[in-house]
Amino acid sequence: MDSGLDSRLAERMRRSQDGDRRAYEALLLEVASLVREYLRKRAGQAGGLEDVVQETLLAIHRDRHTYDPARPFGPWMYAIARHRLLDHARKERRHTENEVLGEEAWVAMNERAAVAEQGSWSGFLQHALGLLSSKQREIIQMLKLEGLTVAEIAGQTGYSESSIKVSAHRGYKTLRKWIGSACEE
Amino acid sequence: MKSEELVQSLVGDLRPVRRLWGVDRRTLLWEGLAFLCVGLGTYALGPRVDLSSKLRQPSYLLENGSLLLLFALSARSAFRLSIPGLAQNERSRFWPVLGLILWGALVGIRAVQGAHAAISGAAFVFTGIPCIVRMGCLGLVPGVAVFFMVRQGAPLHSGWAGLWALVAASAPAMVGTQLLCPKDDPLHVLVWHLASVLLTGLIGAALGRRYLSGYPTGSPGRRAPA
Repeated sequence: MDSGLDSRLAERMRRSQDGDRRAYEALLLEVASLVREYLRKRAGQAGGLEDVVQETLLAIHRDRHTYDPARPFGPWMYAIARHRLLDHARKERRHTENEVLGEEAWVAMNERAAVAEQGSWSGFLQHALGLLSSKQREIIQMLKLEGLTVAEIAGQTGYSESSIKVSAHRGYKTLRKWIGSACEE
Repeated sequence: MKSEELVQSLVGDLRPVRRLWGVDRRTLLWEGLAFLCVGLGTYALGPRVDLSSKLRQPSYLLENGSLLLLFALSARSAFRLSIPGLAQNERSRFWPVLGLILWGALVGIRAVQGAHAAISGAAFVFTGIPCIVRMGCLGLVPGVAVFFMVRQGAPLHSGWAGLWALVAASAPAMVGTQLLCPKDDPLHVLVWHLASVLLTGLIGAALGRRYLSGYPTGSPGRRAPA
């Protein structure tokens, strides 16, 4: 970043810290453009870069009190952008790993189902649903098979919305546990 | 939401903020507080009876001098890490390690050269516990204060910031402890003094990752002083 641009941004940030909205708007628009360019250089055409730009803008907004106008603006801004990019990359990696694990679990579950219940998925799912209480089973079927909302289920069954959410949560937990152990076997 | 819409929303949310004081000023302020707490605590607990003669021993002075160096370097690192862009250079994060190495080397040399007191395992533990308690008491207020002050910034490397923050708090507390503790056995100093500071630093790193992490998903301006 050349020194002219840096001092212009530094001055805008100084005025923004004092509450000048026009300076702040100009600053954020310019920062968004600089950060977008920086991210393209660092991460190419990777997905979600606009999310990183927005997270950087949020972080700059939240931490604007830490900027010292006596120091250059560029290192402060790029440090935040770099940190947001690394954090984004970490989240993406975790997400990808979960997806791979999900696929493996799916294959294992499929194989297990085929063997366990005469090759039928319905038998596998019937067994899984059989582990739930009648209330949990009823709620999960209405939520997932019939596609009803929590409010609609509350209207039909007379259960409170919070009770429906708790029952569904407990049911999912039971299913997750059983499917996980089935996949491990 | 598009970025332009986000910008408009942030502009609408803009409030004047009070800028953080500079790193040097905040570091000095905290160091003054730490000295005051440790000084008063040491005075209140009563220094070791042979302190005047110990203060004439170069090895004793060097060990405590290296602790003060560790104190200065780690405090500066913790405060620099609390400001984005100030501690991006990886090497600058390792400066406080110099203080640790120096202190460890001085104690290690004494351990190699000197004779060790022959005591039982239980007695060894029994003599160490008071040192842990002293360090905890003397370092508690500076430790809480440094965590609070670092959190006022925006540490991007929260683990490192937590590590050096608690090392910075435990180093002067350990100087105070060494003014109180009558045990000079190098093994005692290695385990109950040096390892305690290291362990406190590791606890600081864990706490830092938990409590100093700069960017939780929260509303904008959560930590910005209005």
